[in-house]
Parts: sequence; C-alpha cells; structure tokens
Amino acid sequence: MKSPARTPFGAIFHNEVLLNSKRVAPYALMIVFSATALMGWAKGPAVALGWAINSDFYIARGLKAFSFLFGLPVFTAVIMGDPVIRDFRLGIDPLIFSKPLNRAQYLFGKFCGNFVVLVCCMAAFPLTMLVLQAFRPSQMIVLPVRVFPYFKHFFFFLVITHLALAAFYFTVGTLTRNSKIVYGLAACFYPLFAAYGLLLLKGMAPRWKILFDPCLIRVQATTVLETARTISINTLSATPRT
Amino acid sequence: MLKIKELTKTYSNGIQALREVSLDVPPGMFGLLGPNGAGKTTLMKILATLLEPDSGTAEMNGIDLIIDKHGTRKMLGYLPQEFGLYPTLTAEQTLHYFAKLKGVHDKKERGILVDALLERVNLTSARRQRVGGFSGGMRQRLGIAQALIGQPQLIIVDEPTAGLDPEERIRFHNLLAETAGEDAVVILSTHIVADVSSLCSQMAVIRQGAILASTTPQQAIDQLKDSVWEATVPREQLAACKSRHQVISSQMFGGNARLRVISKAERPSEEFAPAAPVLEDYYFELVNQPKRAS
Repeated sequence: MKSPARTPFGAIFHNEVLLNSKRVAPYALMIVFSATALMGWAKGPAVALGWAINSDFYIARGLKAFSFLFGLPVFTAVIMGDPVIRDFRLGIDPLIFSKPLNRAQYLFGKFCGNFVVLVCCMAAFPLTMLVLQAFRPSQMIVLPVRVFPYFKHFFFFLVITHLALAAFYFTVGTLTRNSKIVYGLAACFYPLFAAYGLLLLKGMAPRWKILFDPCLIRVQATTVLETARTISINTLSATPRT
Repeated sequence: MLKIKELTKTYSNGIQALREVSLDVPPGMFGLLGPNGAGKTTLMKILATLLEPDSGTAEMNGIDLIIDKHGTRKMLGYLPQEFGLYPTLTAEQTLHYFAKLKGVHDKKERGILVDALLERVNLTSARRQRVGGFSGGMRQRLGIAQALIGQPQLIIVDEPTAGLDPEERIRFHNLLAETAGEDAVVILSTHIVADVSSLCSQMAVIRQGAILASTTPQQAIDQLKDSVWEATVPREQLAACKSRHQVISSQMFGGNARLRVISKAERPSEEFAPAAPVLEDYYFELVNQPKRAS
C-alpha cells in the first residue's frame, strides 16, 4: 500500500502545515492558550477550594472550561474557515487542479493539515498545565507528577469536540467560499449555543441530550457555570463578617 | 498530435464561447491568436481539464482529454492567464509542492528536478526568496517552471507575456522555444501577433468562438504577397480612405495617419506604395472581415 505521505493528500497536508507555520495566527493562539493555562493555575479555584492542580478531576475540569469558554470555538473558525477560500482568493486553484489529484484528496489534505495545526495550538494549554506541575507555590496541593491524564482529557474534551466544530467551519468555508460567513457564524457561536440549549436541550431527557449534544458542550458549560457558582459561594462564606 | 473535434461551449449566461472548434495541433509551438473575448481561454481551460465542454472531443496520444482527466493531467503543463502563488512560500518550496502534486515523491529526485527547473528559468539566485516579493516577470518564470514539471507532453500557456517588459518577454520567448524543441505540443494562446510570428511554426486564428484559419505563419504571409499597400495620409483624409479601401490597420503618426490596405488586383491609388506583408496584416485582415462585411 502506498504511504499517504507519497500521495497528493500528503503533499497538500504538508503544504498546509508549512503555510500555517509562516502565519502569525497559530503562534498568537499558542501564546494566548498558554497564558490562559497560566492564569488558571495562578488565579483559578484550586487553592481556594483545596483541589490538587494535577488531579484527574481538576485537569478534566480545566480542559472542559477551556474547550467551551475563552473563545476557543471562535479560534477554531480562524484556523479552519479559510484554507480553501485562500486558494481561490490567491488564484492558485488552476495550478493545483491541473495536476493529477482529485477533489477529495485536496479537501481531505486541506482539512487534516489545518486541523493538525489547530490541535497543536490547543495543545499549548494542557502542555502548559503539565509543565506547571513542577511549580508548587505555598497552599497549592500538587500530586506526584503525572502525564497521561493531560493527554487523555485533551483528546476527549478538545480534539473530539473541536473535530466536529472544525468540520462544520471547514464545510461552510468550502461551500460558500466566503470567510465573512464563517467568521459571522463563529461570532454567533455563543448566542446560538445559548439559544439552542435553552430552547431545545433544556427540557430533554438525558439520552436525547446526548444525541443532540454529542460534543457535550452543554454539559461542559453547565460544569463551568456550577464551578463558578461554587467558587462564589465559598468565597462569600469565607469572607469575614464585619 | 493533439486532435480537437467540434468542441462547443455555452456558458450559463447564454454566451457561446466555442462553436464547433476543430483543430489538429502537431508537436512544436502552436500559436492560437485571437482578440479579447474570442474564446481562447475557454478552449485552454477545456484542454487543461478545468472546464467541461458541452460537446466535442479532444484526444492526444490515445488519451481522451475530456473523459480521462487524471491521465490528461499527468501529461499536462498549464500556465493560466491569471494565477496566484502562496506569497509566504519561497520559489523552491513552491516548486517542491507542485512537484509532489505531479507525483515526484522521491525527495532526492525532486531536489534535482527543482534545482534544474530553477536554473532553467534563471531563478536560482532567488530560490530562497519569498514569492510575494517577486516581480511580474519572475512570477511568470516560476509559473512556467511549475508547468514544466514532469516533462509534460502537452504544455498550455495562456497569454504568458501580457504585462511583461520587453527584456522579460524575450527571456520568456527563449524559454518557450527551448521547451518546444522537446517533442511536446506547446499551445501559446495570445492576442500579441509578434509572439506568434517569432515563436510558432503553426498557428490558428479564433474569433467569436470559431476558428477562422489554421495555417503556418509563413503561409499566412504568402497569402498576402503583392497585396499590401502602405501610405501616409493627412488625418482629414482618413475617413475617406477607409470608405474607399480595404484598410487593415491605421496608425496615427505626427498628425498624419499611416495606413496599410489590401488590394489584390491593383494599386489602390497614387499615394500608396507596395509594402512587405507581415503576420499582423494577415491577422487584422482575417479578424476584421466580418466587421467590414456588416
């Protein structure tokens, strides 16, 4: 069997990674995501609530929040929305499509190349969390160093969830060839999601919820909101009364 | 030999771009001449498998260009009229990318190929330069380099010298002439008659989607032997001359008009002197015929 690297798919894939390596956006996203992890470590609820910062529970909680909050769905659109649009905008499409490759190889190469770049950007968050295990400020509980839970939760809460979202943005961008529509949809993500949750998911039985919210974003959002409520309750109860 | 038979294409807006175009294109440089909007680019796009014709066939070396797109693309080198390149990639990276798409996957082999192509198009010194900083001529040369990957048997170049300065144009001509000497069919689509007269051994003239003539440049010129006359007349007499004679071109020069007319039987009038026919005369005579008739 022919190695995928020696096919037009491999060529497109490699070129997408190369093109993204020359863009500012992936590096900027990595910095933002690392900074987010650093903020969560320094100012998050771990110390206040006595949670170990490298516990399975805390890692899962942090990655769920990261997957939904902090604009990650919007950043997914930035990376995944315009790879095909870019080729048509630059006018490179006649050169590509006069070469012996089919459209499926082209589209699959484009999607995979950009999704790998997105995953690398997102990986900055758990990798920063992983590194921060080495630092133990006073009052912070840290369990013995662990690596696997970061990868496990990263895969389930970020890679799988955002694969669906990335496929959606990529499809919209490819079909419409209009990046404004993609970014418009990305900007509408939170309002649309809130409306979807309120109007459709709220009253549903759990098994139907899983069907209509396969990425469990609603569950993640609920978890994050509960965490925020817990923190505020704890903070209020810990505040000395005057 | 590339054989095109009765190709027809009508766009969805009703414009009939090609009307039963039939051509036999032998190996070597073939010029396709025609004014803007004649259907040249449509024909080139169909041959480059980027556009579907409504009817007709095109066949080369036993491969049906309309049906077997994959097979066609393997033997095709295409430089479109307008094309873009990734501005952040270097010339070398760009050619590596296209070579991989063309099926050259072995890294060492690809490296040798890219080096040879860069040398051939005189871009070796700019190999690590980003394409975004290239001049128009450098971009065209990189464009032809990507079209030459994999020793294509059919090379299609669509208006390649438009916008190039004279030096770059000559350099590009030499590059195309070298390519044509390798038993490949090279189709040069252009509206610049001088490009065809200096490069092509065969040519065709297309207008309003139909082939008006298919011949060699020399035969075309021979057809007008002893028929072209030239005169310089005052500007005021230009309209009168145009109504009396079959004018093929007129050029304003220092307040006067330099006219070239066709008269096969006799001298048009006293002020006209015989002139050596050039390919441009043949082209203008051909593409202006229906206009004059109407």
